[in-house]
Amino acid sequence: MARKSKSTEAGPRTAANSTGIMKTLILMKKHWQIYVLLAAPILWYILFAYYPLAGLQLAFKTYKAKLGIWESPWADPLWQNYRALFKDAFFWRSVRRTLLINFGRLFIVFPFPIILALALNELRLKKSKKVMQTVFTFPHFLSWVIVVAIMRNLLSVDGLVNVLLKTSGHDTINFLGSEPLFQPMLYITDIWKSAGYSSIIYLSAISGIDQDQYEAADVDGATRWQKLIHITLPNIMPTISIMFILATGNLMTNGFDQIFNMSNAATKNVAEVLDMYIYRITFQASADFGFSTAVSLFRSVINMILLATANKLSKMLGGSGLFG
Amino acid sequence: MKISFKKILALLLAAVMVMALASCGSSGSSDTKPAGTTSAPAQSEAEKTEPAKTEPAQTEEAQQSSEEAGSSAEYGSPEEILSRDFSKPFKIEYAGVQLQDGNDNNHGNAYDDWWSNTFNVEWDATSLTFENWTQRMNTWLNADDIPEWCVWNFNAGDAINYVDQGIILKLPDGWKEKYPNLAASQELVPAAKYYEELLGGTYFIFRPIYATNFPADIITSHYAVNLRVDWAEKAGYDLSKNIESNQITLDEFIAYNQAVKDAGIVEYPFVGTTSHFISLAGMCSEHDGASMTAFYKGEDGKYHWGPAEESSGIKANLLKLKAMYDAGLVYPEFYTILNDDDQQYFNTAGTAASICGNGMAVLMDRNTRYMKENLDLDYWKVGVELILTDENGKHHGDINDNFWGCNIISPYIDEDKLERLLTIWDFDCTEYGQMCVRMGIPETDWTYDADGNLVNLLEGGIGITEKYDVVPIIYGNMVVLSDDFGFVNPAFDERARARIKELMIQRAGITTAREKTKDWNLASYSSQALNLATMTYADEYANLITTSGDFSENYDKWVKEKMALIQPVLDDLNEKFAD
Repeated sequence: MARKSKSTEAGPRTAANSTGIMKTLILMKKHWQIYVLLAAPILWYILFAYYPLAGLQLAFKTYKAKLGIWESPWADPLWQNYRALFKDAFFWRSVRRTLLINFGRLFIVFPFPIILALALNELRLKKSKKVMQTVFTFPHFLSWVIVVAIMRNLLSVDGLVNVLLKTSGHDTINFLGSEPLFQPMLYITDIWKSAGYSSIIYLSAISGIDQDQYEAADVDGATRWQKLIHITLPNIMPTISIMFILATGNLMTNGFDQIFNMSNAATKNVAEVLDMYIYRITFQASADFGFSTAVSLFRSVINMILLATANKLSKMLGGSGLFG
Repeated sequence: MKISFKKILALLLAAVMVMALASCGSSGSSDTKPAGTTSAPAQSEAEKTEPAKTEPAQTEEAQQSSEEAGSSAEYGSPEEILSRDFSKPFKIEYAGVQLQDGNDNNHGNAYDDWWSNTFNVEWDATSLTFENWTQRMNTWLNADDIPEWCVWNFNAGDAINYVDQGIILKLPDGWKEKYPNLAASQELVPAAKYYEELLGGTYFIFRPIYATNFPADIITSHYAVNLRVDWAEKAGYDLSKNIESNQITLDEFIAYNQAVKDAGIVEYPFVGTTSHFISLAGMCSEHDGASMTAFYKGEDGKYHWGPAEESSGIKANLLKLKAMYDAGLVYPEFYTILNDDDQQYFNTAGTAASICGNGMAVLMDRNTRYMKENLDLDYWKVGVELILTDENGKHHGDINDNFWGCNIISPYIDEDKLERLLTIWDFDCTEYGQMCVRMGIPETDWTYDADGNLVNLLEGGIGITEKYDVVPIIYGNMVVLSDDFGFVNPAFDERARARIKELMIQRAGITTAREKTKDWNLASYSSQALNLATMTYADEYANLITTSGDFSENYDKWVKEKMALIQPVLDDLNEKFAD
């Protein structure tokens, strides 16, 4: 009986499915131009985002260049790379350092674009708003090599800051070789370089807020501060929430360019984050691409877990998730 | 059916995007015949891992063709090489370090033009930096896609692995007869013979540092220190004993810098890069890893790691450097100085009392010229180069393999191109070829007089670098490196050449390298454990020096931490090669 009922249910579902497919095909035929346009990005994703995922098998292989990824022999045992990796105390140290730096980034650097967007939104003169926005966005287009070169010129022992300190009778500060100052300098340079550009997404969210809310608040005699706290901020909260979840998904990834350029022999202990570790074992010693892939896969898995956890937490707390 | 403009535009856009994607793929196949027969995709497993094979060179044919070309000169002589048929032009891919950015390396100046025209060849050059050299080469090698000619920072473990996989071309059988001068250059490098026997053929053309002009009987580290003599006098520090003996101990060197600082002459008397600063300890220690291998076989027949052994003297000497740093005798941000920029503090800005450098004529010549130009000082009156030794007057160093980097060739290079490339290298290794490389265009920049003596036609003691405003790296460091010619290069100050010879002979007499024998097992050892234990020793030591707190405690802690990675290497080495 149950079987019969199942089969009788399957009939209409199949029919409904084929009707759905037909509808889709008809729609596709009707709007074929849009689908042709979509084909190229889809192809791009397949070629450059999904197909390379197959390369992750290297984490369990002994890579041989001549044989390529697919034909390189499997490691013996399969988890050989992970066995060596998990034994390496410097790997675990780099994981700790990565998380420490990135949690700091999440709580110190992350709010700055929001604050900047809110501040820019409060500027009444359109012209000065545009000028300020350009000024804050510009550093994003400088490479870290340039930013670090500027930083060195300013902060080196012969740099502007130390010369000013010296001439005013103060002791000079070893900015570039100080381990305790390394992390704060990472955040400061990151804020200077990226806050302006990152604020664009919040500015666009602000521009989408229904103006009626502000007019109603004006009628009620709300101050600018009250409008900012009670209208602007809650309205951009879904955007903040999504950006926060995405940032959490990068907790195991530090900006390699920034740290690579800022680090030196004096700060190497505090600068060896996971990216630097991967760089060191891949390019400074004999190249072992299987081992490097193992580290990279480990990092991606942890990032994925963090992303999913943050997404779940956000939903549980009543906020927005990545998928609504 | 009416086709709207929108539809055509959509199709066009999509086509452009697909074509853009397609252009990211392979650059297509070459229609030229590769010198090696390795063509991975269509081969069987066994063939894929086999080293590249090349047809044997027909020496007799080559000789015959040279006779046909009308040359009566001896085969392999410069005249005979230059008389060969170079009518077919070639463009050869090249990747190496120290190339000058912006220089086209082919016809950008008269010097490059002469070489390109003489051999009818152009270089499709990729410039690498010291920072990305290993990275780029590792990437290319592991993609089985190296440029046709690369300069590779030889690494024994990787070398064997790449040869096994057929990623590097094996030179054709009989190449030594066909290119006799090139073959002779390899006899100067002990590693060349070792790896040829080990691998069953020649895969690497090592670039000898010293050749016919080297004045001593043993090759070791040539690092030395330079000091301001006039400032020693001003500070009341007596250097006369050191100048007389050509030697200075690390303690004396520190005392000199202290005296200069105390006299208020300069704020930071010693300026050096990380590697140059750490070299001060290396020249007084054994197995420090920064200037030589940290692993070694001890008298007990077992393998040890230098930094963990008190007898190496590393900890004691680094402690001295730490004291030097803490006393403000060293430029505080020495770790931010790159390349050889520390020299500028000494010979251009005049703000350093001492530096550590490569101890070659080129540095002394620069000191002579730059000090005159920038500071109006005579280096020979105000400066001196000395050998740094331990308390017993010994200069510590390892046996120098007499090469820096090697040339490797793509297995996919066209046969004719390979012949042209090896011919140019062969010419480079002749005495005449070296003259063309170092002195410039014959009869324009140099010539021989009736007695066969070299006549320098370059004006005012300048070198070809200045004359042509170019650093001739492709030709200059093609096979035999520039160091050897430094002993006789007339473009260098005569006093510099004489002094370098004197110091080189003296250093050879007091080097600890004399007491050692080459451990080939260790030199060619590779493992995943060694990979994980690989570190930049100079950076590690610099970090210990700049870290606050008790150096001895920090050092012991560092050794203990590193031993977790080092011990598996030692265990493996002892299991395989211990007596």
